[in-house]
Amino acid sequence: MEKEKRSFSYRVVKGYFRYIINGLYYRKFYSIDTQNIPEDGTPVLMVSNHQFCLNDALGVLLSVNDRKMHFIARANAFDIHPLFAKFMLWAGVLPAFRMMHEGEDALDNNKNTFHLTEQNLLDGRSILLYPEAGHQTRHWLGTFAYGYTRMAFEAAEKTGFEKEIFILPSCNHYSYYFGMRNDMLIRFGTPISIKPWYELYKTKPRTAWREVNQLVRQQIRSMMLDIQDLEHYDDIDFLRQSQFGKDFARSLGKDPDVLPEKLEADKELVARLADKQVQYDDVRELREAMAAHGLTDRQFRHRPWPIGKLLLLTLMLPLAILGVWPALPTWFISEHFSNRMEDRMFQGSFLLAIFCLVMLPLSTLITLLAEWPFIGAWALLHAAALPILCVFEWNWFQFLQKAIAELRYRRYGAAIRPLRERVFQRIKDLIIL
Amino acid sequence: MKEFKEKQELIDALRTAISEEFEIEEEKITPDASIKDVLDLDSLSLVDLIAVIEAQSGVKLKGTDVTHIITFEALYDFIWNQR
Repeated sequence: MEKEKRSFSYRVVKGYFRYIINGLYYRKFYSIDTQNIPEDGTPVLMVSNHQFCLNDALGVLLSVNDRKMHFIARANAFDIHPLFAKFMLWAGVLPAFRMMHEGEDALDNNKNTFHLTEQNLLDGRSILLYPEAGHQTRHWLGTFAYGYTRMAFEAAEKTGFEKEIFILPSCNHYSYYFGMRNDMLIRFGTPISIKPWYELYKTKPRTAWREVNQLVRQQIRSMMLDIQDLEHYDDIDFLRQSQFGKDFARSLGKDPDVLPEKLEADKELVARLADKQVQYDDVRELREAMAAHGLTDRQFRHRPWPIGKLLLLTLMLPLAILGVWPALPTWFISEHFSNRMEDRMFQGSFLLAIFCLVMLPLSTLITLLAEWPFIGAWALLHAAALPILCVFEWNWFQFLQKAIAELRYRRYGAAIRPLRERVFQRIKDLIIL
Repeated sequence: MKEFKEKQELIDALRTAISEEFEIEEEKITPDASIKDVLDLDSLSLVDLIAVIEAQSGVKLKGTDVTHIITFEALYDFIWNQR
């Protein structure tokens, strides 16, 4: 199979994304079991859980280095801006139309997307799609639509069932959804050839879809954190993110600061909580008491030193002032627009898009034009340092917020601490063997 | 397309047609069962369901009609009233 050529501009843009996203946006980016990706030229539909809009797809894009990736994304993403729509098409993204969002009449447009995707598969391309047909707002696996199994089998049918088509389950996971400097993980499962279902498909296509879908779903669920107890989701999420979750990970011999290990520990924690049918009334009480005073579990973990933090922040202030441009306009612009969005999961992707696609290139250009006449080549150095200054600014503000939270902790922490210790001990007695 | 004098005739015909199209046992299509859960409905299979209903009953439903109907019993009632 002839490999698809990647244009120079595609390689440049991908290299830029790699630098910004892997190097700056995330604290750590894990790409696991990439050896499971079938070699370029093999028809592969990559199917993943969907947590976080653009970020999920970029994670896969940066994990697959030897080929051009193709994607299927919700059609309304193409409505954001005509320039963005052109960029998406150039990047290999095709629109999927959904009845609940784009309306019944728009469903006919999927014929073209199906046709192009099936052709891409037959040409040996790799296509990523999200069968949940929309992102989740939690660590939870939603219902799958069968569009991807239709495409896979229809592509095979077009070759008289001669060609072997693969489906590769994958999963993504985040240490925290919002803001910068979090950890992201992409894990690839075992490729599933749909060839064994070709005969069944000829007489019972839906049964073949269902059987394949079940296998794909099982693999994705086994790789991800799937908190099915949605009624107590916030309580469970609080426990796994708290000191309790960290201690639990350590009790299993896992490092809670290494995302892949924390994920495994969290999966075990969620399973044990479900198994023991834990009650969460006091967990909720604790969560609400902390929230009422603007505290998180973080302040209870370490000996607070807000004065030391504030001194350090003051020392770093000159560098923070240097980083005001372009960091603050970036945050303000993305905050301004994303606060108007109903779907909070779009905010993180919006911040990433504004940061990478608009503000960094724009501020680099403005910096060069404004400073070159006065300081010459030094302007180049400043422009090159802008991404790092943005990250510094972010960290400086995070540190400031921590210092303020620690001041609040000094005032309110002592009243909450006994409840926290009681709750953690109760759950520990229940689930830690 | 067949004319139905009794509602039960229509229900039986629909159950058989849906069972064949969606490759599920007729026993699973009980009056109080959830359409979405039993048929694993997504946007595309919803279009298939509408086509089956039209072929059997002559009633052309909109996707939005069906998404608001939860059970098969409610679906039969809706189709019967639309005839």
